[in-house]
Amino acid sequence: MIITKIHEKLKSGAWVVEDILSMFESKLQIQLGTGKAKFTVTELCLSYYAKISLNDIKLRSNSFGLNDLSLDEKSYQYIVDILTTDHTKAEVGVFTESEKLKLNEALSLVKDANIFDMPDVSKVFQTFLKIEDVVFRSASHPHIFGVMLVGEPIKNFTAEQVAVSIVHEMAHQELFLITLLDRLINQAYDYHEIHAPFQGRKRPPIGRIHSLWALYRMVQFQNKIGKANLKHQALMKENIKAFESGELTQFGECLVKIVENEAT
Amino acid sequence: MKLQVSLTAFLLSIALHSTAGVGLGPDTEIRKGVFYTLTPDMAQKLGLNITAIKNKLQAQKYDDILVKVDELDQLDLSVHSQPAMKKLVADNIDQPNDYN
Repeated sequence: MIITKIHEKLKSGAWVVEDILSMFESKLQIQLGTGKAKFTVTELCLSYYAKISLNDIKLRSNSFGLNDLSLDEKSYQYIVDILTTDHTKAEVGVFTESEKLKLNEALSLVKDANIFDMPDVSKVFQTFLKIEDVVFRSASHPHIFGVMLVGEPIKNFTAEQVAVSIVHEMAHQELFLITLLDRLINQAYDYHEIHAPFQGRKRPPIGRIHSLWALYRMVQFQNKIGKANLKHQALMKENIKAFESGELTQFGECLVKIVENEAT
Repeated sequence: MKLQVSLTAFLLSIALHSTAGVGLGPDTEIRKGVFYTLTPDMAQKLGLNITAIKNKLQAQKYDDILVKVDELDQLDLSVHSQPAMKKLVADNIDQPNDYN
């Protein structure tokens, strides 16, 4: 069973993005009837989830997505809709030269960390989109897998902090892939909200497990580059305790156990 | 000399000539690299005998690929469209996530 193999790999501390990503792409290709045509996973996702024709999608980009990125109108609207909430009306913007420099420096930091079985960032994120008029520093979404949304507040952070953000979003992408195999949360508890230490507010279990997993990968990265962050380590420990009996599937509980082992 | 066929050609051949099962001869070799197109769903639609195909693949020592064929059915793409996931994303967007 693939889930057993994934569990074994995760237990060793390794990342499993590449193990599931190729299956995800294949499944999307089958569902969309594209065969082995060369579409990126983001294009496949947009077509499958947003129902946009692959011929209409123009998300291909040069220079690692930082430059010369053009978006077709439908994809643009879909992304803006994702980012529009009761409190937010975002716009896709253009990176400044200093932001590009900072991102490239951050990408080098992640690459140089050479973490065990961590996928190359370019395999996870083919596109970086600058998002204006938002409060978040980074975000990602399973319907635009392969895109890292970089919020305007990036200008306030150092390259090292942006590197942590990249790892943070990669962890979300990893969990998006894992949830294709196991939804992690027992459905009856989908909206069971309790206090989440990372955000300091009530969150449903899927939010709490995403926080936990992102913290786990961040702490792993920070320890590896010799920049241990005691605050994140403490938050990670608190998050381990933020689950109630019955909320998680057996595999969800396994993930918490993996983080617990890392924390002790 | 072994006959090499792509899986697409193989499926077409089966679909056109047989609905009773797979009649691959001992000299037929299924080429690597196209196996992801074969799912149990597709096999069923084409009236193929998936067990016979698996046996053939196993005989060619493609066990690892066989596993992957089955694994694709374990991926649930709908999970990312469920309301709980939409709420997760909406909650995140409204937060500064300034975790330093």
